[in-house]
Amino acid sequence: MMSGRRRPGWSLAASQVPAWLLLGLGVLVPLATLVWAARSGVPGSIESTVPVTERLARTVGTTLVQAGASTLATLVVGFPVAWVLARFHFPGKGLVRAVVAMPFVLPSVVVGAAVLALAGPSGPLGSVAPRPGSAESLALVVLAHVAYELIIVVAVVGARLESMPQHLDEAARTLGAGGWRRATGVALPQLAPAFARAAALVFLLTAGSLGVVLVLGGPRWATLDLEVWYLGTQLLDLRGAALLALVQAGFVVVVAGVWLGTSGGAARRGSGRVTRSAPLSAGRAGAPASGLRPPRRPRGAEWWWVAGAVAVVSAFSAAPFVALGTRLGSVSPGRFAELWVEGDRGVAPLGPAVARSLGYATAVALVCTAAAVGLGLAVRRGRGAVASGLVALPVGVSAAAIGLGVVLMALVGPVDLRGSGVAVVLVQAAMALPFAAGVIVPVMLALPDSLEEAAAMLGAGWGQRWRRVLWPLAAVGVAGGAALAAAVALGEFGASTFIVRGDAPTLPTLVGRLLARQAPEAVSLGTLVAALLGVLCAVLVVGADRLAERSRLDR
Amino acid sequence: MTENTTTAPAVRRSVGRWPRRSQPGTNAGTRGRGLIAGAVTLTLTLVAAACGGGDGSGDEARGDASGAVELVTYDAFVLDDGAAEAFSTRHDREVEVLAQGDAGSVTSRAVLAAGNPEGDVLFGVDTTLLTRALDANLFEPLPQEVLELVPDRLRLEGPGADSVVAVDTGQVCVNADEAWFQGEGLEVPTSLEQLSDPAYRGLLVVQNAAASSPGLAFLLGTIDHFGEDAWQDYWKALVANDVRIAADWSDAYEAAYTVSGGDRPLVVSYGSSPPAEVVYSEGERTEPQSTVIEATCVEQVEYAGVLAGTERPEAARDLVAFLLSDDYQRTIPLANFVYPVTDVELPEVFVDFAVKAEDPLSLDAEEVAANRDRWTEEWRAITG
Repeated sequence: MMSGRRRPGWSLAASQVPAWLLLGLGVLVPLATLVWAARSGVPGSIESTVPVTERLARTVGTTLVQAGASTLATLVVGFPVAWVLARFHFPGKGLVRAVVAMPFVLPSVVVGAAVLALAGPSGPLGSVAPRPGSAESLALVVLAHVAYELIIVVAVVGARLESMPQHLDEAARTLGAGGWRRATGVALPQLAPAFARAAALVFLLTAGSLGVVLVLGGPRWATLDLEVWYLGTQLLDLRGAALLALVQAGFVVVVAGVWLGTSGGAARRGSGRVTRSAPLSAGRAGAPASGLRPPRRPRGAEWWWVAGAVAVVSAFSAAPFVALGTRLGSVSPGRFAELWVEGDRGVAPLGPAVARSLGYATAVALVCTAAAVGLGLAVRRGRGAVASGLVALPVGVSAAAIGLGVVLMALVGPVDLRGSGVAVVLVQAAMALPFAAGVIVPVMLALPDSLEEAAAMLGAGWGQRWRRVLWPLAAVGVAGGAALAAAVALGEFGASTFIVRGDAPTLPTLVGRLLARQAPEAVSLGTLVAALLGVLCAVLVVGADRLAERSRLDR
Repeated sequence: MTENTTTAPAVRRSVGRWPRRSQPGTNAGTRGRGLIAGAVTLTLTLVAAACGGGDGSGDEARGDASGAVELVTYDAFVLDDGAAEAFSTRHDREVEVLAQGDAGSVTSRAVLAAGNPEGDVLFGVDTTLLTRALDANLFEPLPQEVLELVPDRLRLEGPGADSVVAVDTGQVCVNADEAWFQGEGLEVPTSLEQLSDPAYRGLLVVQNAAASSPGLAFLLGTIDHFGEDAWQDYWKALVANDVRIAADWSDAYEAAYTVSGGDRPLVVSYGSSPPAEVVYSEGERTEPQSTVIEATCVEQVEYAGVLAGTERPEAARDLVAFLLSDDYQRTIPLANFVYPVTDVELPEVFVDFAVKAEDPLSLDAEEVAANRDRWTEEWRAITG
């Protein structure tokens, strides 16, 4: 790292080019098009008669209610789980952690479908749960969001719980403070920043939720993202959609600022970046530092706490996916083969959709890997600060806004990328870049200069050093990043719903279209496709996590 | 259909072309240059392909692309097998149906794809959506001989009128499950007003007027009946009476309606839905279980046109003409349960059980065009 500041050279600027191109073409140009469209209007657009300020107020209202409820519920459900996991060692703890983490890496439409499989009209809870889209459907949305975001609370608050020094608590006890006094006076101030950080992140993600709300809540619980989608694809008020998308982008910047502000330097250096793999690995703490209380086996009544945590995790994180899994099993092989080859009335066959999705995901993985490795090289040399800051942008910006931006590039601008596979890859790659970079950049940063220099001293040429020394060290981690990018691309819904052609759907767009309807056949077919998609994504993400873990161990 | 694929250049092979540096301190800077080069090449290829892909097909001489001709339409549409076969024998090309949601969603999607359509022919734009489609220049003009296949009374005038043809007509009406009402000892309602009567609380299912074609037709019918000032109150009363809003026709009729196994005995559907019950019962039923509430009927015409920018303009025109041929028109009643526009003979079950109100509700097309979006917005605010 030290040598990096010396002679940056043109190659470091060049190595950032792929990342900049992805961010520029995949995010900034579509956003700029939205600005243009919001100013100048769009031909064929229908001006909604509801003033945009009124719509905005209404949507912000429902967003605040929904995201507030989701955040609160996630904190309430997540804290005891985090506490139990941080405090105790017990058999199956690793499994509990994995079950909590799993939903977070699945596409939003899959999580929506899982809750639908559990609490939808034909699910086991169908008789007691509210109907999707009804006034009471907020409960379903919140349930899905708790399943989705639980890991954030468990990871962020759990990490703080694990790293809280014991001696403060003991000092307070020595001074005679009771349990309540110690909890509010000692523990809470130490936990508050972690709570704030977890809450901000959960709030950000649930406020921008599109797939889950579309499937479960309908327009009644519209988030800004959903309203962009609704205005853009249903009402055709494209200018209003553009305006809302811009508001959403601004909102994200503010909340992300809060998040970065409370998370300290670590986040800015990239190690705490919002990545899907981070929560997976977070909390797998190594040896506790001195003064910390190491997790121990629960004693006596403490087992009840453990049992409670396991029950909570089973109910929120496992049950919906078990319900989804059983749907997969309920389809006869013959019917499945028929759907695979021929599709259903008006529904494209699954086989080509799977092939197409995997094709896009592969292309995205390649593009993202190249961009992230290039970015990693620059960051390794102390460059690329702007790019690595901007690289997180796609996490927060509404995917629907990006998709709409690409459509508008044709309607108000000269570039027609609608329906082109290249546009799909470009936008999905921009969406996946933060995740790929979150894995690959740290891997690149960790490559030791010393080994390489030793090899150089021994006369190894450039290619040899890369092939024999650096690549073997980086390869596993880079592959992990690639797999993660592929998983994100595979599940991308918000932007794809605008760009992907209706006659050539990807799996998420197929799921979204089927589940937006409520007819039983459509729903059961949609849940089936969602289960298939969930399995594919889970395989990729678990693979990515394994690779990232191995890469850490190698070092 | 252009399915672009990106090929990754052989990234690592290009490594050797980069000059070597010998100073140890800067050596690290050159690591991975091959990757950089590869990445840049890859991205540039991507961009080049993106720019090329967008406008490649525009300048070429017009000639139909190969492959099936694609009919973009709504989910509930059924293309009769015999009709599909008749088309493919006559024109040596298959027809592929691409369902895109309800008619409202289909139209919106088509507007977003205007000029670069997802299929070749759009069918299912109805009276209420027609201006939206025409304003966006969705369709290519049709040859005179195709336009003349439409009977005089259904021909359009004004801008864009030469780009669409009426293919079928129907009436959107509330259907009632007569058997259910008999079982409950309740009179079947006969008017719109009665639907908001607490006696019929929780019995009606309608479609989302913002996205669904029959849903919007029903809303417009209520506006025609109650007037611009009073329809909102009527809908508030319906909401208070626990009306259910289904996403589209299939959700309402096939999922929520008691005749199909749901729990709502009143559904917005078509005046010609009852014959469908008999046909789909496959002999079990000799007469329908449903009755139609005539006072709720709203007129609806469905149109088709060739999507501008299609890669198969010839085949698309053939398909539109085919939709007006006897071979297709004859299948309309029993495939889609609406009325043909040409003079073909109606099947007996249709004559017996389909209901056509003599004086259906209807709003002037221009009035609809001017107010539709405000109405659906207000409706959405009420039904929330």
